[in-house]
Amino acid sequence: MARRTKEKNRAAEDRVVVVDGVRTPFVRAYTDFKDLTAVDLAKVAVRELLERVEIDPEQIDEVIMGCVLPSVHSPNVAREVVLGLGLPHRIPGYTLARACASSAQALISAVEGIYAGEYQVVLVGGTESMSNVPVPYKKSVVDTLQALSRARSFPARMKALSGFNLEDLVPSPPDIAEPATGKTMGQHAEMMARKNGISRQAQDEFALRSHQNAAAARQTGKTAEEVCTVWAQPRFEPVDEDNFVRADTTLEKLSSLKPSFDRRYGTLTAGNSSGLTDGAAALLVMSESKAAELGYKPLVAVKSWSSVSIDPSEQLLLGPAYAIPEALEKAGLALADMDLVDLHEAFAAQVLSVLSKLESVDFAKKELGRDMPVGSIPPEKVNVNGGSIALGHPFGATGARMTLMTARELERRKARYGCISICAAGGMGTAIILERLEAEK
Amino acid sequence: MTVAEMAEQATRLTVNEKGIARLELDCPGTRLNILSPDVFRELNDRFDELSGREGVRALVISSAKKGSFIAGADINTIGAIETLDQGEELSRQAQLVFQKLDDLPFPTVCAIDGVCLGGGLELALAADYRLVSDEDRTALGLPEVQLGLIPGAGGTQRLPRLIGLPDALDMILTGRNMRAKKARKLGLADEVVPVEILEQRALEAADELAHRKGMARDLLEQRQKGLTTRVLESFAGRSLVYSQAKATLRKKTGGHYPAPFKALEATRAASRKSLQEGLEIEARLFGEATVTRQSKALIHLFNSFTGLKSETGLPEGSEIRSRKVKRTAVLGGGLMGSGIATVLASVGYPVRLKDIDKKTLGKSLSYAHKVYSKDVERRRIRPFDRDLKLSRIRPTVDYSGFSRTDIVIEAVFEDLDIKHRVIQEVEAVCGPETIFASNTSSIPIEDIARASKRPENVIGMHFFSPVEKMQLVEIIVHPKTAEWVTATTVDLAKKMKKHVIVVNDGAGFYTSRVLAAFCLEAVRILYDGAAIDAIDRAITGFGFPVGPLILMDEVGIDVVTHVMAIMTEAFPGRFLPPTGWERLSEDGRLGKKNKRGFYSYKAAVKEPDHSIYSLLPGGRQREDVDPALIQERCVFAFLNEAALCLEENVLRSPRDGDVAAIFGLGFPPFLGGPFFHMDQIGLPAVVEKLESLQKVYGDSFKPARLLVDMAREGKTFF
Repeated sequence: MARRTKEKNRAAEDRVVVVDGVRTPFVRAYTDFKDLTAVDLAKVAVRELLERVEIDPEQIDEVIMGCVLPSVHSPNVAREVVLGLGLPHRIPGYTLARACASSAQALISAVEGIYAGEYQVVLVGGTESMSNVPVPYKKSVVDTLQALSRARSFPARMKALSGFNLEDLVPSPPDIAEPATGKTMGQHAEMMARKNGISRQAQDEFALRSHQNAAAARQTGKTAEEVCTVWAQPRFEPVDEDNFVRADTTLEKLSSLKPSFDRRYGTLTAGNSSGLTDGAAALLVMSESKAAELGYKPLVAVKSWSSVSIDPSEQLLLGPAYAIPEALEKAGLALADMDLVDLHEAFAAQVLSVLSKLESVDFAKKELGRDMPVGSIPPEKVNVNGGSIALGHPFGATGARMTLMTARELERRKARYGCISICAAGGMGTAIILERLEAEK
Repeated sequence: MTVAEMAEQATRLTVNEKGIARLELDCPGTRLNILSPDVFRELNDRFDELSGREGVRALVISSAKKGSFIAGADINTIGAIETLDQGEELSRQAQLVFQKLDDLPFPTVCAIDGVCLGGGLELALAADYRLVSDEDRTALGLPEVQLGLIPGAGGTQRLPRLIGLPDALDMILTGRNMRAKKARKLGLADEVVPVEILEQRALEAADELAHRKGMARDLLEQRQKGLTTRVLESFAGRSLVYSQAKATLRKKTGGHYPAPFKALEATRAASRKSLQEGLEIEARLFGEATVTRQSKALIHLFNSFTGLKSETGLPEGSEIRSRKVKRTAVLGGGLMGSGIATVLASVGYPVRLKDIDKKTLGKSLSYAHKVYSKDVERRRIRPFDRDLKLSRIRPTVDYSGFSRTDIVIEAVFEDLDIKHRVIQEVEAVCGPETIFASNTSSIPIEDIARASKRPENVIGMHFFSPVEKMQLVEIIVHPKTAEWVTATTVDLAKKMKKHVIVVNDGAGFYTSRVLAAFCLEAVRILYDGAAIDAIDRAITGFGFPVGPLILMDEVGIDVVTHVMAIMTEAFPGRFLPPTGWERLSEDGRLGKKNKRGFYSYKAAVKEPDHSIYSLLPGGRQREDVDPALIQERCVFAFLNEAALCLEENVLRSPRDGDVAAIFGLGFPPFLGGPFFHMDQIGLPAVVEKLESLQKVYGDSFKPARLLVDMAREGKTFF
């Protein structure tokens, strides 16, 4: 069935712009940032962004943060950032979750709020500490403890404890399984690779390119422009580089890895999938007129966006193949107009699946209700500075990271349009079209 | 009674329909309630009035000053006491007034919010029942020993009777304040009450006590000293407690402070004598304490830094006001830069901290974290506050984030070229109204300002190490420094909770110059043949916290040499180290930092490094030098240099010189500072001593012109 496409995002004169952004290095979970919470990481990125743009914090109306697995002690990361940095108390702050598209959604929500006249200046960002994922007790333990706390006599306490097994104490860590399908992300991606005929070699080649692009961006100093140093507790050693990126990896090395999700027939490995990552990113977003008033030269305007979803049981991570054409349509642009496309790399198999669907006439007809395919994207426009496979993927931070990287790369290339798109759990997909401000004049 | 007379009153007395009298203190024209002789007289009349008044069933005493109960007795009244008898009489009068409160025929209750110190607490102790607010500002204590005095209005007698001997001794001998919770635990307070309902609850408690019912009655009946306290108060326990307290005092005071011993003696009477006899002993000892030179010196010091607090750094009557500082920056993440950033962030300022090395910045953050964590351990702040403070320090290796900075404090290497380079870098990125404050310890500010496009924005801001502990900031103005720059910098230093003196420019300013003269004299004594530890021991014996040679090791012998060179350049022929001094640096002796200095840092216990003697005249055979001579030479070098600073107008006043010497240089507080000390010796005697030293040790002891003139004219500094 053809999907209904939404019309346009806005008609207002005053656009919404991204002034600048900063991210922390993205590091493998349980390494350098082991002792930093999602709030700690967000605070570093926001603090350094505020220093660099030198904005008077009084100007900020709202803080919106994406975070998928916040600490149970401070679930509203955004508000904790405001309080923990001593920002004006009147700035509220809320935290949202749209799986891996959370900080992309934070940006969209900021834009919507500004269009609605609710805000003028919003701090947007995302953060994740996979080193500090809450590990809850099983429900049976919680029930027992609850009964125990209510028991007033010794026999009552004994009764509350009866039926309690020691093995109940084994915690139940959250996994990345889809509740609706019972399969993990990896299993879904395996299924997509099979259905779309994505070979192991194609995946490894894609992963290799991700690492090579990321390494080149580091080499040329591009990465350093957007990454801030984190002096991580408890030793306060400076950390200023992403530690996933492997400049020296080769196809041989990648092809020698064992499959992670399907040991016998699988094609997905730790090498061609994104890993567990700690990191945060922040963006300063405001109306174009406000930016002019404050004397900023913003990087990009947010041209259009789209959030879609599909049946998760089929091809869980194919959302971008729907979201990208919708966002393009809203912007009145074609895929060919894009100078850069940044696709979130949950798995190489998933990115390659999306790319193949965009090129597919069949997909265009059946799924999008259009005769022509969305189009093919030349490799030199895709994830030019690496993606989540090479950089890592702190769920909440990835959307803001992609926005920042794309905006800065448009600036470097003096190019005009960029598209970012992210697949997310639950069969969701989000795409955002960015336009460099200088380019239009 | 006329309206005018009413306005003069320090108390208001009302009685409600239940017969509860309320006595509210509100000293006219002051921020805090201070117990002056007038207030004592008024309280005396009030208590007389109450004791005979029909229908009064209970009394509640409180303060009308928001957030403070009573700050204590009037220091100046005590400071003006000239004879032992006058002091004793003052104490007796105060005791008499509080005895009247004690003797009132109905229950008496104090409602305490904020400071309740000295005479204030002694008043509260004479009441039957005390409620304190749960606010952080609430502090109960007997700080008299810190001024060389002892509690003289019954405190030494009533406190041990209420809370037991061991805790009472701790409070009286240290002068430490107790917060609400601790006061409740000690039995000093009967209830800790949320401030909003303090007055209301005090009235209820008074009513309950009057009717012998309810919570207040129960709490009063349950009042009981702990088992340990009872054991320690037993006959055998008592003498143990006293002998231990005395031994601790001897160690802590170094024999320089008599007041704690007098306080100990007075408190001892509480457990052996009747209240009346005890009060008499207290009054006599109080009288003795008031006329000690230590007490006079400490009161002088108290008045000096209290006086400094209200100063703006500008001449009186100046219309110029300080400007608001919102964003600060510190250059250099070394020990000083880290300390300055730590304090700025601690009191609420965002600090952009720049260094060229990221690892150094990590050490700065670690330093701040350690300082704040100590406060967390002491439960002064919560972990959240620590993290908030830490987040205000924003490290950087470039000048991003500098353009809207109101003040940049540089703490880079003590080298004029480097200072010139950073001043130009800062001016390139900052606005025209950014203050450039140099934390130099010796280079004249005018020389630093020479590289500036805006010399009027340049000022000296001399901190002392460790910054978070040392309470002094010496601010140095050069002729072009704008007045608003001075006022703003002084204000910032005060917000950093420092004692601030403003001095005029000159090599070494005041503190480094005096310290240089002092240390150099120690070096000369060493080169004359004395032993390293003998010199340091003599000086600590005099009352300085550390000896000059150990201090030079801490600062760095290379740094000392560098400073001496700067001083010699500014004062030709003076500050010349003895012949052969350069052999120390040739031998690679930098001090503590490379574990090679006057001392050896190999063992756990610091010991003089005997191998250094082979570089000195006299070799390993050191002479025995009379400690008194060592003290004389070093201290008089100090005093004379201080006088020169005043003479040359580097110092604005002798008071500033006293405060800075004590809080910045460790001059013994019980001497009141170099100028107060010279007054106590007598200026003619000072000049005479200097002249005799000059004859033996040369012109470095040539008495300052100012001293000679003042001695001749019979003048004094204060």
